[in-house]
Amino acid sequence: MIKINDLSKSYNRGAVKAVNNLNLHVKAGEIFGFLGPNGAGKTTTIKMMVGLLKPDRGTLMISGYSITDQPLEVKKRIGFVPDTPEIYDKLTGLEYLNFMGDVYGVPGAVRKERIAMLLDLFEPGGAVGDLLQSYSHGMRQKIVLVGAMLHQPEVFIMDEPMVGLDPKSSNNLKNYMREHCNQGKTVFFSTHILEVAERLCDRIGIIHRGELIACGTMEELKKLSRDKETLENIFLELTEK
Amino acid sequence: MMMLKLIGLQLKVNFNLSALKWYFKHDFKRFAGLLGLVVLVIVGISPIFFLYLMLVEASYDILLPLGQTEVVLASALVLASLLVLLFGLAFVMSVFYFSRDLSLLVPLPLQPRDILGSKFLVVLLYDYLTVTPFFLPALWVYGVNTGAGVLYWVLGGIVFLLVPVIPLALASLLILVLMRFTNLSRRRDTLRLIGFFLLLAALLAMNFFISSIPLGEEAEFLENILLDEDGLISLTTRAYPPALYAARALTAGGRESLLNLLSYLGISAAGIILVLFVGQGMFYQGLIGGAEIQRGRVLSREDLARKTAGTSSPEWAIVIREIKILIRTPIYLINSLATAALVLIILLIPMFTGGGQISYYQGLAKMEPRVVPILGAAGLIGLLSLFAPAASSSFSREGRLIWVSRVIPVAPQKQIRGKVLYAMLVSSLALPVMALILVLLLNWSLMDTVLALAAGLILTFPAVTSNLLIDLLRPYLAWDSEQKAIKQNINVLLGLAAGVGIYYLLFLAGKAAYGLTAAERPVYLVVLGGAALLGAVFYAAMLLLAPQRYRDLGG
Repeated sequence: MIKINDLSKSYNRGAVKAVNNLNLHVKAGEIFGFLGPNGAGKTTTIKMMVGLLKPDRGTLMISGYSITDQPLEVKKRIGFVPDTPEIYDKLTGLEYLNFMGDVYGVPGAVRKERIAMLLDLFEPGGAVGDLLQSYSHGMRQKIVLVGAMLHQPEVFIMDEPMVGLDPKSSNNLKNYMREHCNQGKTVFFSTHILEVAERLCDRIGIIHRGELIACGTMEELKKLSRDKETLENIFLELTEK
Repeated sequence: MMMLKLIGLQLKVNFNLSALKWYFKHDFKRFAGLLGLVVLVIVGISPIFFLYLMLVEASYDILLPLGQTEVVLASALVLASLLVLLFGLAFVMSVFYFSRDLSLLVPLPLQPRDILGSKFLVVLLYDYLTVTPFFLPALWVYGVNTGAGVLYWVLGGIVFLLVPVIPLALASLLILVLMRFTNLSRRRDTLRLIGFFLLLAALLAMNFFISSIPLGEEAEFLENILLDEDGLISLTTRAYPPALYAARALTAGGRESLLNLLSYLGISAAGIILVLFVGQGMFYQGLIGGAEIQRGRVLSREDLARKTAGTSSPEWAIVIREIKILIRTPIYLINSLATAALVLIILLIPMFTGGGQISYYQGLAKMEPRVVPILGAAGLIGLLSLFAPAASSSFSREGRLIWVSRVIPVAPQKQIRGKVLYAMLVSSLALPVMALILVLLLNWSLMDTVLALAAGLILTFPAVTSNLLIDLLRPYLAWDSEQKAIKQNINVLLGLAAGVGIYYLLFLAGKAAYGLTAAERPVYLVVLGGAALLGAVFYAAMLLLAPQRYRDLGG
């Protein structure tokens, strides 16, 4: 589903290597957790995956399409949740969802059912008729999540999706991610909440200073560490080298 | 003391001083590019400036035999001051109440007057951009023609600095009161918009009554003006009395000059003190809670189903998004529509001010060949679209939210189509107003009116596409408050200059066509065909550039 080969991106004319020779394959039906300290290159990688940043080098294929050569084919197949839920303040939640439905070409009857179902799941409540500027951070996050799920994307890409969510919504999101993958689709997300990654992800990748320093199942990661207890210990050991 | 620190901060933030300093040291290419851009804008607008200088020069020559050449200065002072006052209402509202840094400043241990004072200075500095092209040519023409000495130029410099102070203080006081009293209401956004337009209308109406000539006494009135040495200057400054002090400070000479300057200075200082004093009490009362939104009712299942069942094409979804954001963001609405409305009103004022001007307008509108007034009216429609920066700030207004347009699976070309459609729709708001003016005030035939409106729409096309192209090429996305996206965006000025340039070219082409053929049809063909062709070229250029620009924007 996601194939990343030799991906590199640098800033300041090559002075800062944000992502360096990244190679990563994520299979269909997999939940992949992408971890790393602040500034490690997680958001840069995700932005390249969704077409918000142009790679300096390497290839990035999603569902068999290249983000560089066939960006529209990729965009039709992904749903994206950015790290900060910045959306149109002057639209109501419902107007935003209808906008997303229109641009992803979700038919009216399907849209009606899915919006009702997803709103039940995340419960932004009566707020959907209000302007987004009145929403709290968590409520915005819910609307962005619903907007990205509306077309049931083959690949769901999220940058820190749990931030700002209440425990119930966070739990519902995790269940939704699992159901989504059970249908043969893929979830790729970055997080700092290691317990979530440990419990939820089929595989985990750890990026540090732009390079993928570890990648595999929890069992495989444990083999890389002296302290095999928790993902937190493994993470700290690997990133403090 | 605190105010001075805040002023320093505001100057750095609003005029990008820190960024410019950084570019100068570390990225000189970018610094030079920005400088080049400023030069480009100045060069672009300079033909209008030059035409105005010629007009002032001609006015001076007419006034010379009447012995009332001071009117050149007085009318420039009045014009610049009234423009600062009228455009200042929207600017003050934007900067005082809708800047994003307010949420950072208000919780700090600062006095309201400190914040207000620093923001007042920011608007004041921007207003020199309005004052410069109107006042400096008059100062120059009068000074050079009268062979004025050093004192004149020194006093001229002081008067120049003072010109925007009083009108801006007045605009600030009006907005402080408006925002204070509308903040009580649950529907404050709507009320503020209505209040804003009422204020504008009241100021214009007041100006009209002050400056209109008494009915039935026209001959006597004109005689008095011409016989009285100060007749014309008194008439001119009736619309804005403080201009009389400024004009006399520059022309009276000796002790009287000094006294008039002191009076002008005194009124200006009193204006600032009054703003700070009133602001200390009212600023926060109008500001705090201003962003609160009234919660709507909870949607029922049926409402939700009904509202989510309809679909639109991706292009139309973009049009709807743009229109809703424009209408619901007071700053965008005021700057897009009010600016165009104001230009229209200023052009129309002479029609109502008596003194035979209405018949002059009617004469102009009935002149032959008909192609001149018809394309003239069409050009006015196009010009109004240039004053509504719906197109020239379209990409910039997306700001940090540009990520949405870049990740949605809608081809950039389709998004461009949506933006063109949206900008044409906003521009076409001028059509019904123009139709009413042409039919009701100028008694045009239906045929001529329809022709003018259709031609207006065609002339709007290159204005919209060139303005969108400019904004696509160099969008200003890194703004931190909505007013910066539209008010402090150089693309709006570049778009205006480009549009005026295009219309001037079309005017020359039409004039040449009439000169060669002495027939009307070739003029229509050349002007409208040329406009359509130019519009199509800019549109095609956007389609060509869009995929790459959408990939690189903001990244």
